Amino acid sequence: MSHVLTAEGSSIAMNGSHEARVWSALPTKEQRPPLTPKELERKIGSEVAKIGQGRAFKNKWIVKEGDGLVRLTESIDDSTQKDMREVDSTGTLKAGEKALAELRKRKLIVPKKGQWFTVHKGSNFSTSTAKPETDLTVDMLTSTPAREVQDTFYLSDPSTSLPPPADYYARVSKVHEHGGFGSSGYRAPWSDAESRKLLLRTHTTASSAAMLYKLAARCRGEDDLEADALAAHSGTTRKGKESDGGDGFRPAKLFSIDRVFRNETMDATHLAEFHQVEGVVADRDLTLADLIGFMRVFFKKMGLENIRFKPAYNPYTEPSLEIFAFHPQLRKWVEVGNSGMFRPEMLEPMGFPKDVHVHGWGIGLERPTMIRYGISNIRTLVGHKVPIENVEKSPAVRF
Amino acid sequence: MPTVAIDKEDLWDRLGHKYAPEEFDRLLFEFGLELDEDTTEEVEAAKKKGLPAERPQLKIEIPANRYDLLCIEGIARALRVFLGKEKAPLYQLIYPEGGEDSLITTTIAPETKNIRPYFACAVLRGVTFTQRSYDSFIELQDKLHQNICRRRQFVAIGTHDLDTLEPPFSYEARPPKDIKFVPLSKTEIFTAEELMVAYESEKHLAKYLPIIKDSPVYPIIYDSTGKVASMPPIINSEHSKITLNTRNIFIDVTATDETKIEPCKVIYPDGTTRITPDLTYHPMTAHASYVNSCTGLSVDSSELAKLLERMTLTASLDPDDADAVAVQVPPTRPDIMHECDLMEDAAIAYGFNNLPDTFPPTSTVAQPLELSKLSDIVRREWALAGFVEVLPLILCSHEENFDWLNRKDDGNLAVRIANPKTLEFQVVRTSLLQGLLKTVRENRSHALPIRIFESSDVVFKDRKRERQAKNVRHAAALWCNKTAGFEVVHGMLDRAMQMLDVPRIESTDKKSPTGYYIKERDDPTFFPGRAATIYYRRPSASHSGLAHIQRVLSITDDEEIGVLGILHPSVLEKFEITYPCSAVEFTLEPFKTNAHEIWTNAE
Repeated sequence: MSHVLTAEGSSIAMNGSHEARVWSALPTKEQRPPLTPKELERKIGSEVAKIGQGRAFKNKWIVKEGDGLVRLTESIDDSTQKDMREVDSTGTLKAGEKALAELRKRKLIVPKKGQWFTVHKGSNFSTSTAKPETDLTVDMLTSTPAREVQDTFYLSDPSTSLPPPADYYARVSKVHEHGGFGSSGYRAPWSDAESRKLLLRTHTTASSAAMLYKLAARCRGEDDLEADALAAHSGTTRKGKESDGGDGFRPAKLFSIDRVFRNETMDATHLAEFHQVEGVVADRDLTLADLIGFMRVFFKKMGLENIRFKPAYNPYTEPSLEIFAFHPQLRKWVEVGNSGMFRPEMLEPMGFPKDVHVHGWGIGLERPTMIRYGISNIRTLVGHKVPIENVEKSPAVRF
Repeated sequence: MPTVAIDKEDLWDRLGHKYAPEEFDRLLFEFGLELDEDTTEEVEAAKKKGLPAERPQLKIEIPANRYDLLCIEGIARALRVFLGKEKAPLYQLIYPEGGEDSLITTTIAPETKNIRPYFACAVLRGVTFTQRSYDSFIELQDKLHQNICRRRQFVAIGTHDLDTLEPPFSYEARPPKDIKFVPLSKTEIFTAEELMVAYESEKHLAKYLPIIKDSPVYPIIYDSTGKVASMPPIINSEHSKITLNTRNIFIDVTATDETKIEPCKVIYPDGTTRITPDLTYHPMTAHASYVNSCTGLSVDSSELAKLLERMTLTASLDPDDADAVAVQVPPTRPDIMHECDLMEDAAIAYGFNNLPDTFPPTSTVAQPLELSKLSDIVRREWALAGFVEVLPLILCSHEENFDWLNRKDDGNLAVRIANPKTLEFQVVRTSLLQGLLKTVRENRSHALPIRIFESSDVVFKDRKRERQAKNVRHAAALWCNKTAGFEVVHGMLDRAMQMLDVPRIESTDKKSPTGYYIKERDDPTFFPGRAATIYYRRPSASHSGLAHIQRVLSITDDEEIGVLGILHPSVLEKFEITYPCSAVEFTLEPFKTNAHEIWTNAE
């Protein structure tokens, strides 16, 4: 147990013990005249004088002479001051616990209150620090203007996927790194480890890509029963071609409304979880004009008549366009959606024939809803903090 | 997306026209740019108050692929070409007198491969700066650093007054203590070691220090007399800084990756030489038929060539192919990789908003996703029973998912997140209960009883699947009132099962071909004696002999699909709920009957 000095103890460490201060205040026998107790009190204070006299007598340091006091010894050994200094610097006394107990009793020292921590090696113990995710290598970020990786939730357990289908993987990595299918490719290094990292999707286009790969199964010549199920709800294609042009392709329209995740700091307009509405149309010879016409109808159904299209950039669509609607209250153009035609570098490695074009479009669910209903805090729309009463009292949605 | 601030008057001069705000907004929009801000009003207001004001600026958002538009010069050129006011420039290298032999050379030391192995350089001759063009030059360098160079991690660019240096140059990598020079904006000599400490407090430079900090050697560029030109990617030397009076500029580029005007010769340690910069135009072919089939236009090749010219591309007709246009892609457009990129540029030049109005003729027959349909069935029934659907989060803390529900984490269940910014997002939920309980906690002021439900996905680890995890659709309902209401949630289960056409059977019934029943369970999430497991017996698919024998022998393989019960007081305490609650939660997956697996997450 470690000790620290009390205020009295500190004073002793600085100025000497009470008895030593009494002794040093008194004259020697030769000097005379003796100091009266009253004079002593004036000189060193009543408290010190009172306590110090008793101990000084006991130590045979002073003696009475007439009605005054004088020194008895020529020199003294102020062991109390020495003890205080020792405790102050070491926290304890070599003399041992008995001496410490005596000093505690005199209220010159007190046990030190402290907090102790016992440190054990945890499962993540390491003598080297892992590189934070923000410190990227060229392998992790290709030169594609990808979404900043800091926004992504990566998984620690499980952290790595099983190998994807080998031939598909080979085609995708080749077109990325070296080009192919009429493209020069990114000509940037492809990292196997990076491609196998598991994460929570930051946009539902990731799922659209997975579904398009399934849609192309028949084009890849894969024999499967699912294709029959698909045939039940796919129709004829443009240009009066046979619905199956001999290459297994069947047109399809798909949509999803689902959750996406962004590792963002949350505020009134940002949550780590929100929803995207996404759709794809896959058919032969679909055009950009078709996409624009489709988006016009889509937004018209929601009451947005005055819309226009801005050329934009997405790594996976070309052309890409952002959809802006004129907001009559805000009196400005606001972005309401993003869309495009998937790049051949993405579709052809899946196995789609060249003349199959795929529209993709997506809108956020929360932001337009917040604008529509005048909601300023997204937490009142998504998550456990949504007031149940709001749900109960919201009018039915009508467009 | 980067935003570039440019001088408004300067831009009008360069475009030869003063644009009205709406007119300019439309021009930018059609070209794929967005006007973020026009500071004119601000500046006017400041002037009225007699405050010092800068010249009005336009802040323009540039798409992430257009590195050639990061300065006023680039934007003005692109818009002039787009408007048909000028032809696309032809970039070419001018060799010095004496040709290749008198090129300035830089020799690369082998040690640089340990830190930033790639090097390129060039000289700009006969430059005349004004204050504004000088500012624009410095600003462009910074924009390039922030964007394509990824905050100098991949690429760092240094610019020097060539006339203060004596070529040839050498690019080396040396221990920090051996590097000594006067860095830009300082007056004394620093060693690289001292610099790394000094710059820690300088915010604009501190962020670049980690790029080389822990390397035993730092990159350094010397001239032939041993003068330091720069220490990439951190700082240039004061000695060679460019000023308004600089006429000839030496540009050095160091990189960790090679894919990114007088040329210079670079000599690599293995003896190979390369002349930089590479201003080669890439030939590509655009076909009118392809462009028409993708856009809905009907242009011929000469119209197509005109459209492409307006996008700063050099296009000429192919005498041998009436459909084709030969395109020279300038080095400023590395984003053009495929004919589809040319197709988009043609469509932009034509104007997205001028395209014919068509609609995809694709006709298909709608088909709901079965799992969503199951959820909808439960939603409708539970809502009719007076329960409100809520929307809690899918990510939660580890405690909420396990400890607070008195559940143990055996490590095989929940998917964990590696890099959450807050403790709220440590795991992907394996149960809907904690979301419902948190919703009750946040709705204390709501009148009792609180009746809520959710039908959504939970996620479990699954080592067999490519993605190592699977989504499972659950349905859960919770009742909170002055009495626990076990019978209420039991009723919710019965109602949902009734709608799913699953009959209730006795737990002792071994004969019925299908049905559900509940059986008491020992579960610390729930109050002892008030918890039950929900079992489901699938209708046997075949009337095979085996199924018959199993029934005769009373062998059942009933699956456990969920739980219900009164929540344990210790659970309620953790979620700060002061009223008793009952809950039911079960999976909807076994009730899929004829799912088209193609659109599901099944592998």
